[in-house]
Amino acid sequence: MVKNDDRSQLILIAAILIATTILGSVILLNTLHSDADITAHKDSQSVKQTERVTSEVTDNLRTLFFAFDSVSEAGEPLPYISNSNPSLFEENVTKYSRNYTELSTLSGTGVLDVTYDDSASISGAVFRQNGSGNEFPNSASPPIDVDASTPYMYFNISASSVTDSSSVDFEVEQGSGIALDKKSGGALEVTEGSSNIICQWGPSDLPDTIQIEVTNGTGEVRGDGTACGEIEIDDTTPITFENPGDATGQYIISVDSTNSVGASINDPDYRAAFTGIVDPMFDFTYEDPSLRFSVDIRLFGGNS
Amino acid sequence: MIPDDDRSVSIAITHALTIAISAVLISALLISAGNLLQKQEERVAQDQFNDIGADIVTHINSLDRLNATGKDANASVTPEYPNEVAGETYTIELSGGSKNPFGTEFALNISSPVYSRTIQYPLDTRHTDLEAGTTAQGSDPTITLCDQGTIVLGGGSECP
Amino acid sequence: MSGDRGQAYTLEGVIGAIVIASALVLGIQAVNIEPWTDDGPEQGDELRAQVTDTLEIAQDQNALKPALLCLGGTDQSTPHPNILATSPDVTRLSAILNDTLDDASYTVYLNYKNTSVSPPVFNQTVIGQEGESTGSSVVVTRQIIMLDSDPVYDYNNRNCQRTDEELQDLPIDSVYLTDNSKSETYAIVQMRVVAW
Repeated sequence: MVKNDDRSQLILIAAILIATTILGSVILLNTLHSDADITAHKDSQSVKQTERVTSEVTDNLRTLFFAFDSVSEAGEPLPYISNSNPSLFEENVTKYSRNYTELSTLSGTGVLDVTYDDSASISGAVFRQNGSGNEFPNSASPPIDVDASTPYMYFNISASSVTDSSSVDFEVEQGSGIALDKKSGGALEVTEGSSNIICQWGPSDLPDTIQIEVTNGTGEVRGDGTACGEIEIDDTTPITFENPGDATGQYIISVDSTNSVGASINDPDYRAAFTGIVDPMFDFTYEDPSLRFSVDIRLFGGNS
Repeated sequence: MIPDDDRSVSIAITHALTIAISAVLISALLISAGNLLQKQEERVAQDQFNDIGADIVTHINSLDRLNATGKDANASVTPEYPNEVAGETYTIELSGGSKNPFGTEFALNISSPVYSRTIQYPLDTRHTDLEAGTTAQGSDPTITLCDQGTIVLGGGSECP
Repeated sequence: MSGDRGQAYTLEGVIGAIVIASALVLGIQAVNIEPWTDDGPEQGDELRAQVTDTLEIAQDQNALKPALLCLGGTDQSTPHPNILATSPDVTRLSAILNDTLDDASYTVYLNYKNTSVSPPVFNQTVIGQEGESTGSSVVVTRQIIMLDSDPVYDYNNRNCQRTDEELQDLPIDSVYLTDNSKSETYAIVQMRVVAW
């Protein structure tokens, strides 16, 4: 019948229309939509690695610097390279740089190149206690100028030897310097200047030894190796030991050659100074496929 | 018969009306679907730009710390990011002055056709200055720490 | 009557198309979220930072050398396998590693250059037990300079005791490192910690 043909034609057209609609919407929506690209998370590992390597290599070079000449010449690690030996030290630094790279490329891609720069290093002298005693000299001793550019200063004091409780015992500089003050009651304070308390301990938690280490004007105070406070020195004040009393311990002070005292100290309380390089400069370069970093590092941070 | 005639007229019109209404409904559907997907893309793109922006800020802060390790520090790092985000390329720029809502001296701008405004991230470096106005194309931006102690986007030629 | 049914069919077709189209939209709208559910690189970063800091602390407290020079391992020349043992802590290094990395597992390897053979080779020893790392492990390395004057330690009854000997006093075969310099530097050791 005519009407049945019309019906079937209509059904066919409707079916085609549906199919076209579906196809059309799929194609249209596909072009509108784009997938989330999730590779945007990048780890900034290269740069963090560079920071870590810089700090690790500086640590290693410091160990090398302390041990290089001083152990054989002075019998203990001191922060200097004797003036007669800079080229040997230079060779050793280059060798260290090569060895470091060989080991680090076993499991990574960074290449290190460190060289010692003698012309930019600072020479001077290192002072230390004389003889086998471990007492601190009294204020009559000739002063050593210590200021913010002094490369290295280190004290290791036995806490129990600081005894006087009525007046300050063991001052390094009167008034504006570092002092260890035993209070009545047994508490111990480390102060800088006249009123700035850096560290303090009660009678029950007194450490065995107190270390003070200052490089280029900033440093920290430690009790038995644990840091407890920071120090800043910005005076040009002579180092004299006031009221050392019965305090015992060790000190190491290095000065640069512009310091007028230099090696002319001839006092029995100060061991004959060891002269040489006291603040070495290293040219440091670290490279890796996506990063290149170079800097001139002075070991004790003197940036002048 | 009269009732049959009426029905055939109304059938045609009804038919036409039905199809017209359906067509309108379908097109409305497609348009709102498009809108929905656009919002979706914007959200995904925002997440990605946040990742990229945070990564660049980390790099700049690290270069800032490296500058403090010694004298005459210079460094150049080229991180890799995807070429396109949500189908469009993007540009990265350092901006200075007070054009940012964070109150920091500098900010990192990422601009892309996906957004009508630029996305900004605060930059607060302690030891180095940043060179405002330097830009880099999205995929492999080079960040350089110059000898003079400035950080720029782009290679060494951009150093002041 | 038949005319009405044709209209119904068309209507049904069109509405069917609308339904299918909206189903498509809802389907395509679902973005692939699998990457966001991944544990991913963030967790590795945190562990890596932790291990790096731990090694730096150990270096600051001078805990690395007394452990790495406490000999008694295979053929007596490598570090004793128990130097990282805990409960009780055998060395300061084992105490530090145990305290800070108590919820992670780790294996420590040592890489060093052996210059007693020609051409020189790089050796690797593992300290103690070698664990099975999972896929998302992190590797942190640290290099340590050994000096001629470093004291040597002796493993005795779960304790590393300091002896009077220095590294330069030891005969060549009794220490895993080779003295590769005429100066105060003895050798460089790379300590590699794999943690997961």
